[in-house]
Amino acid sequence: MGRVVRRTGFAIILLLTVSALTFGAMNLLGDPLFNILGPAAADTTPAGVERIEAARAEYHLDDPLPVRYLRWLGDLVQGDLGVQFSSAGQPPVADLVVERLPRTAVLLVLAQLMATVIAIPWALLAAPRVDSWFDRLSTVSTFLVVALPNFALGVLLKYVFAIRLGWFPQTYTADAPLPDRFHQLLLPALTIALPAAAVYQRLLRDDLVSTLQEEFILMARSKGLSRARILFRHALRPSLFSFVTVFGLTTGALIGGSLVVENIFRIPGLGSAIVEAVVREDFPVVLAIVVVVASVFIVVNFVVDAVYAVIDPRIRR
Amino acid sequence: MAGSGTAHLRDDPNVLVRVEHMVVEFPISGGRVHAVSDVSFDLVEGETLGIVGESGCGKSTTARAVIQMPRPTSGNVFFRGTDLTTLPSEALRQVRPDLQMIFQDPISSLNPRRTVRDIIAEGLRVWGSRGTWTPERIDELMAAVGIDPRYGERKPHQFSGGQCQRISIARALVLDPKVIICDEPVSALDVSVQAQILNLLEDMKERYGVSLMFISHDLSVVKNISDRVMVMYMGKVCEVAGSDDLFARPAHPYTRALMAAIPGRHSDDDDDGVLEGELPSAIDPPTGCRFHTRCPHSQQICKTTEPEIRGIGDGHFVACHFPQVAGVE
Amino acid sequence: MTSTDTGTVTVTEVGASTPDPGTRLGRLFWVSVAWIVIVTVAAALAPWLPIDDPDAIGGDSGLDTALTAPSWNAWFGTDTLARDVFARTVHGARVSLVVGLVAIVLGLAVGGTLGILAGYVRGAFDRVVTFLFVVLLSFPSLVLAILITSLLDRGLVTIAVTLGVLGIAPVGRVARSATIQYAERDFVRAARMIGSSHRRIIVRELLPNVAAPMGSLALLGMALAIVAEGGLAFLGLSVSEGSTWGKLILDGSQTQTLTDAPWVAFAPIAMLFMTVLALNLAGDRLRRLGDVRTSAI
Ligand SMILES: Nc1ncnc2c1ncn2[C@@H]1O[C@H](COP(=O)(O)OP(=O)(O)OP(=O)(O)O)[C@@H](O)[C@H]1O
Ligand code: SF4
Ligand SMILES: [Mg+2]
Repeated sequence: MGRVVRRTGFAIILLLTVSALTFGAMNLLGDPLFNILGPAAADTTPAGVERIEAARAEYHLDDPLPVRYLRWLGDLVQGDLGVQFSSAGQPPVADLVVERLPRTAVLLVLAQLMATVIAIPWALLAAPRVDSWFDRLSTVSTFLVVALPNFALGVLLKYVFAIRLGWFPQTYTADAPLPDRFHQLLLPALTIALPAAAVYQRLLRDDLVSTLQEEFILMARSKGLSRARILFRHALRPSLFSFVTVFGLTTGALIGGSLVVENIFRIPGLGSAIVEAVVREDFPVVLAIVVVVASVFIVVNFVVDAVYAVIDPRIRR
Repeated sequence: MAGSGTAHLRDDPNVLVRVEHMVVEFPISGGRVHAVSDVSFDLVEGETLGIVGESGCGKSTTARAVIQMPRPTSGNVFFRGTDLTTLPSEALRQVRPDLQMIFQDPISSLNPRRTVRDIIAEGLRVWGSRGTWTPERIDELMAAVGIDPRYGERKPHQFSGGQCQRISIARALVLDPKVIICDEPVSALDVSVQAQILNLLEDMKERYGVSLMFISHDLSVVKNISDRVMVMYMGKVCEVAGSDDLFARPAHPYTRALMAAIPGRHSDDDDDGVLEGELPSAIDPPTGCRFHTRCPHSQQICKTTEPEIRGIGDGHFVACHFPQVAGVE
Repeated sequence: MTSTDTGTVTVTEVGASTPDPGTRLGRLFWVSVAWIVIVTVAAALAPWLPIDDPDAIGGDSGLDTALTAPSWNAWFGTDTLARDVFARTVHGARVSLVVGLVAIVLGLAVGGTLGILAGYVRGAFDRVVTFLFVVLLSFPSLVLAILITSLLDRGLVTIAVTLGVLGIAPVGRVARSATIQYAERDFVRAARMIGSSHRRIIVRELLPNVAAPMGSLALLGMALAIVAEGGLAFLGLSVSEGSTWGKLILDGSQTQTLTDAPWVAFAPIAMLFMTVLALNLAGDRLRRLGDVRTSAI
């Protein structure tokens, strides 16, 4: 129990630090006034100066940074992420996040599922045949896949499966019916999933190989248990524990990957949102997305850690 | 046993190291480890002091606290009259070359990335020559400890454990130290090599006039090399005596038990069987005499009152309410 | 080892006579190194090599046409503006490699220094540094890169420094744990006994040992930095001036170009892939060698 409290406390401290750092960097390196008014912040006409003064007052820009951070944090907790100043009508940033986040999330979940579904059978096939041609080929292919950056892989997959073979659409249509949208996400998800699958396969395979040499496995074998049963019931389960940890850590890389892949397949998710915002210099949007994404990453790792603690064989024993 | 007290400290003008009431404790979650509790001893110039005791009794901690790594929790360590425990770190660094150490693990003792000659000569690079040795004479020093100087450019992993200890000895000697503390220098070696290293140590001691503190869990190793022996149990001193005297008439029940465990040695007392019972926890050590939970002679007073070290003649000191000496009881 | 009664001992050489596959770098390592050297030299000498001007429309002769397939005349074909793709790929290596190199040097210098100091000093300083690493690792790396590049300009230096910042925490963690592992060994204690200063202990005793795992990490890290630059390029956030592999691939990946002239994207992809593969292989091999050495000790 003490561990849970400590871990939760640490995750919260981490969330606060990360958001404070991002907020601080945004406000110290960028010009907060510019963030709110856009180019009008440089307006020196009397009307412009008046607007600037009004904005200063409205957003309390003369308050010290920590005060502003706390106010921003308070708003954030209530779901208020500020406004997108560069868009017509200055709609709330939260609307944009709510619109874009689910697509990125679905893409990520789909990718992690695919990676797992590919990696587990692959490892189960390779591990009992250490150094066979299949195992060697697997190892070589994992090396090759890992050396292929996701954007390059995306371009290749797009060329083969979307352009040449035409099995998948080349871009995403946000208002298509649900099954179509799912279909449209498959290729991008595969792009993200393949390198992750290679990493998972390598890890699981190494782990399985050493588990298979352990005493209790040899005992199960001598009792005449079938090979499949040994693999699934006795070898895979302990090996999944180390898998869980890497699963959480990889999520960070996959988030980065999805931002890139969204841009290749023109999926309007968080990735394209943050890029558009950077180009428009719409800093409240950049700030919001960075904080949201980093928070998700921290929370995922926290959950993975908690799951691990619950299922850890050493704790159960 | 338990022995606190300073009756065994000597008033010799040639005392090099004098440790008084040294305590070393390590805070850990859930308490503190009482590794060394009120230990006093001294080392006279030219002498070899053996320190024996079971694994975990605080021998290494004692040795390290003498050289202030880490500094003791309380107590004083005098080297030639200077209290090292209060010395500022730069002044301490100036004193350090006089106190060298040889460790148990020959592999961990030597930097795997440096050549042997480099390792041995390092002290001269820091301080320049301090007397006997100069960079030009490293070959001679290597030969003196039994390492062929032609192998000076090799890395430690190309040498055996015994050779590594020879290299460690050369590294310690290069600064012309006054004291070398040997923390189980032969425990990790094959028995056949042990004697060679012990001979080398005695040789070097004679030739270069150093004094030794020699730590071991093995009484028979300590017996031959030491002039004086101190027996420790759970961070306390049990018995201090000249080596021959200690082996001729061990007075402390713990010492007697240790000797009874030496193969081929017969005890004159049936009670001195092999040690029974678990070693108590160093986090929560027994009250009174720390040995009372395992001592065959334990009485009520042993549980409540810690025995003081007292002399029983001939420079023989013991910390026990009921020392096993003819005529005393 | 055998010992003689004179006390002088002869040395048995470990691993010198018996070939142990684990202690050899192997052919693949040297092939990888060769590739890295070739790419680096070609990139460095690109302006003086007898290849087309990467920006000359129609190649040096001005006669090439847009989107021609690879041929003897234009090895990797031409792009939409009839520029020579081979020349562009070789020149693109310049920025990519410089970015990767600067990034990993920065990551090693800052992360390595912090990690070694934290591992040696321990205590409060260690806790602060460790927390800093955790915070840095809490940003998915590309997101951190986006954040920094969005706040600063997109010059070569900024991008390289940004990618270097991404390397600080991973490098620092490895350096810290390696330092802790070595700092507990007796040779460090012996160095303090000799009277070496802390500075000397760090430089002469710890650094040579910690440098080994960091060397293999440097190769892997350089690969990661080059890939990260490509990711930034795909987001339109890489260096604003000059071309990089990432920008070339992005150009070639426009749907129309990719359909009509896939070589425009595939040439830089192949180059990037082989370079990353070579760096990964060489790094992996070095790491294994280090593992074998340490486990033998
Ligand atoms: N850094 C430390 N932190 C906590 N406890 C420690 C530390 N160093 C030593 N101890 C504890 O102090 C006690 C004495 O240890 P020490 O190493 O001095 O014994 P020793 O007599 O040298 O034993 P050995 O024969 O095993 O070398 C042990 O209980 C040990 O666990
Ligand atoms: S007789 Fe008493 S004092 Fe002496 S060792 Fe035994 S328990 Fe300790
Ligand atoms: Mg010890």
